[in-house]
Amino acid sequence: MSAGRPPNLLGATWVLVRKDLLLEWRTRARANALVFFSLATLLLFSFALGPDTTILRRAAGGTLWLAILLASVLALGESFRVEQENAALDGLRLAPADARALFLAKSLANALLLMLLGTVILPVLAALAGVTLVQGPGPMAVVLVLGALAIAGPGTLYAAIASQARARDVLLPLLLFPLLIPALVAAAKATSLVFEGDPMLQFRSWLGLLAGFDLVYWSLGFVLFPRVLED
Amino acid sequence: MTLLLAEAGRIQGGWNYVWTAYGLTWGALALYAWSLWLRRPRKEP
Amino acid sequence: MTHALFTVVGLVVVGGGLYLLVRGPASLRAGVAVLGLVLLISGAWYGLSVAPPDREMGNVQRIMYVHVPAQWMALMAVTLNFFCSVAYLFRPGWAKDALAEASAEVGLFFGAVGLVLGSIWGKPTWGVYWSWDPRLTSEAILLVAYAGYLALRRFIDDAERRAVWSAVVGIIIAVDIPIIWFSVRWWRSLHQMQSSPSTVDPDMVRALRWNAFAFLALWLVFLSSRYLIARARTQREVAPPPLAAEVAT
Repeated sequence: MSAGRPPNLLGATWVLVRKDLLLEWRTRARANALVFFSLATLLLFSFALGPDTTILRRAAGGTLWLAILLASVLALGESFRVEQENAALDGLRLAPADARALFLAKSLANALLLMLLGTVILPVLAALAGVTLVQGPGPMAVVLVLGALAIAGPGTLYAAIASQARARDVLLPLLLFPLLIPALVAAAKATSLVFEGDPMLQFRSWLGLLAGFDLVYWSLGFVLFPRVLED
Repeated sequence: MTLLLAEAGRIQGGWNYVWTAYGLTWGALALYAWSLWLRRPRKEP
Repeated sequence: MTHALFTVVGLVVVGGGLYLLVRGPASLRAGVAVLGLVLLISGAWYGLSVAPPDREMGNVQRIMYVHVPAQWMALMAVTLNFFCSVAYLFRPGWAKDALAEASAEVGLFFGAVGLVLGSIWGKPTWGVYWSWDPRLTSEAILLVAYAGYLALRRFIDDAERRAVWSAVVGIIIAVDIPIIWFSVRWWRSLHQMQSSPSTVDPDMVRALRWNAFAFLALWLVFLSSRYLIARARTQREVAPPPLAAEVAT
């Protein structure tokens, strides 16, 4: 590798994030497909649970995050496929510091994608289920950010592993879903509180759980990712 | 007779559940032991 | 103080026992298996006849004598998997990897048994087979997680990669255990349903301990056998290829 210059974590991360986002922008088809997949999922849920809007309204928080979670499996699976198919991962198997930058970059890019996804499908869900942001857009944004981070962090780590194993399409959700249940519970509950109001002030607790989850798993992913990439 | 009833606790009977539980436990232990036996490493010739 | 001492002694006994069973001849494992069987049968006799019915739960209480030991065995196995995973990442070794695989499978087995027994116990006690009780719910999530761990191991062909990645996944799952526990408890905090025996008759304690030792003996045999299976497989995989009878020029 290039001699002399010590690895700058933030700098390397930024470069990689830009590369991934640029790639995403150039092939917008993937992001579009993800959006349409999520919308289709929302429709499926509405048909499966409805047409009684009381039930849909009650289930809106959970429905949102299930739609995002199911789409994330596709998004995460794809995020390493490009590298996988072009054997670019071999070129990317670098020093631990660069592997960590790769983890941060990929996770961040995936998280941003999921936040975008959530923002796009939120109004559609609001219309289908007849809910409004009783608590306002601020709290909703916080939940979206924390939830997206929760999925993207461990999801990126697992995607790196699964992309190089057999039966990767099944393996990723199989590994990810049980792990994410606490985050799903917290995000869904918090979202429901945004939709319905929070008389007993539980919103903070659920956000705390989500934030704690994010902290633990991004730290763990940061530490363990170089081991996943090493040969 | 009342003494027997008092002894048995508020949940009456329940032996069906107990036998199911124990039978299942023994069955599962036997099956797993058998699967370990089937998978035992063979010495290379 | 005595709790710490008991734990240390227990660890030494379990660790030593495991070591002996792995290194020793197959007859030793068979012997311990027979011991376990004897303890199991006599323990069942004790638990089903000598121990009295509970004041509240009646005879259904007897299910606890197999449910609780099964859960203990699962917990021990899962803890072992965590330590093996961490130890492997610090210093790789095939023994740690094989033990990790064995403990995951044995933990999954005892956990599944424990879960089903808990569900059976729940029907007469709570009226339903599944009440989303925090403990059983958390356990169900973890069983799926460890099934995923074993699936991962099955879908990676390269032995070294399998070892490293399983260790990573093992650590991630273990770290999630307290998180899952708390989140499920909060999720269910509207509806707490805990039931413990209202009486603690010494015969009940004896029945529980007896069965616990039976399960422990079987746990040791299962773990050591599964370890040897895993070890043999990696040895086959990393063995150098046999020399060709004729050397091609």
